[in-house]
Amino acid sequence: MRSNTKGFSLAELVVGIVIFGVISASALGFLVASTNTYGSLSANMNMRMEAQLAVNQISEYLIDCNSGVYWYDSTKSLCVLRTDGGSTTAHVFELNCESGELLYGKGEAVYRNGAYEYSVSPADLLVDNAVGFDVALISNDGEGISCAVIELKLETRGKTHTEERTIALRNKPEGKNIL
Amino acid sequence: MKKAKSGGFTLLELLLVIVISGIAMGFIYLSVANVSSSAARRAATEMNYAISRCRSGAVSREGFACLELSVGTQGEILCKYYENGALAEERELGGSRVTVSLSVDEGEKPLTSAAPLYLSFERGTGAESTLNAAAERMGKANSYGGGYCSAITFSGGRGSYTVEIVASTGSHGIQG
Repeated sequence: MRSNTKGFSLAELVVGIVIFGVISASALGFLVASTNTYGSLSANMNMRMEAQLAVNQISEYLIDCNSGVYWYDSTKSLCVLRTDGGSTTAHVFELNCESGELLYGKGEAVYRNGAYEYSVSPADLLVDNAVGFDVALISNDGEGISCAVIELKLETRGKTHTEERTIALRNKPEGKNIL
Repeated sequence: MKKAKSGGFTLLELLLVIVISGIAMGFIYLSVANVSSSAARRAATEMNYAISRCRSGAVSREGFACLELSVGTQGEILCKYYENGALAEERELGGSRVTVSLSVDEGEKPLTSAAPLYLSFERGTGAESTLNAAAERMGKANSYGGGYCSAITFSGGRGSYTVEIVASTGSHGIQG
């Protein structure tokens, strides 16, 4: 008894430190878990927003398309031809499967021998983390393309989000799904 | 004296040790925090968010959305977000230690207190507007050339961080 009256012994200190360690470790566990939850939720929201924005951008080009729209399934490439004041521009959206980037490019298209010719290699990033891009062009009455169904799939931190939208084309341009 | 010390540590000794280790941990935290989140990095992150907001505003709204990036009277970096010419949000991106450099068509140009940068995005397509068009819509002058701003670099203290903007699509992100 007498040895305990003057101060803490080493054994008491060690027990105290171990208890403190266990309590702070469990507290840290909660902290890390909530930080992770916050991080994945905000990444998820961000991904949804980016997907919406990207599909919005593509539909902006599609809605007023007036000279042709073509979907190349093998290269995951969508070409939108638009004529404005005499000159025709080809807007191309293409998924690079390796880098997960949906790329955009545009260039002049020239009408020759009954078809538009253009050479565009998309290089400008539209949206990152893309794992799927599919378009179906639909012709309801056989007079050109009346609507397009876009499906864009993004993936971050193991979670995926698919943004799907059907867009009505005002001018019913000619077009084709090329497999 | 010998008898008093023989029993173990006293409360006073323990407190002293805890205070010293507390101070040491404080220093460790400060140096780690400085490396992991420097002022330049924070500024770049905030700028990236501001551009996101401006861009979604531009794509979705009837009017126009515009960002004004400027240097304040004390050398601080300010970012203001305008919707239809009305101030909607104002943030201080960094103090006077952070400097901003812009990549425009003519090359690298520093952001000066005399001339703010105006950034805007096209409605619908979300592509970047030319710097002239953005400033003109705000009724202000543009001193950074008529083309596009492709990168905004924040430097200060430990390293520099760059917000890159792809003009034709408006997509943007942080490098560095």
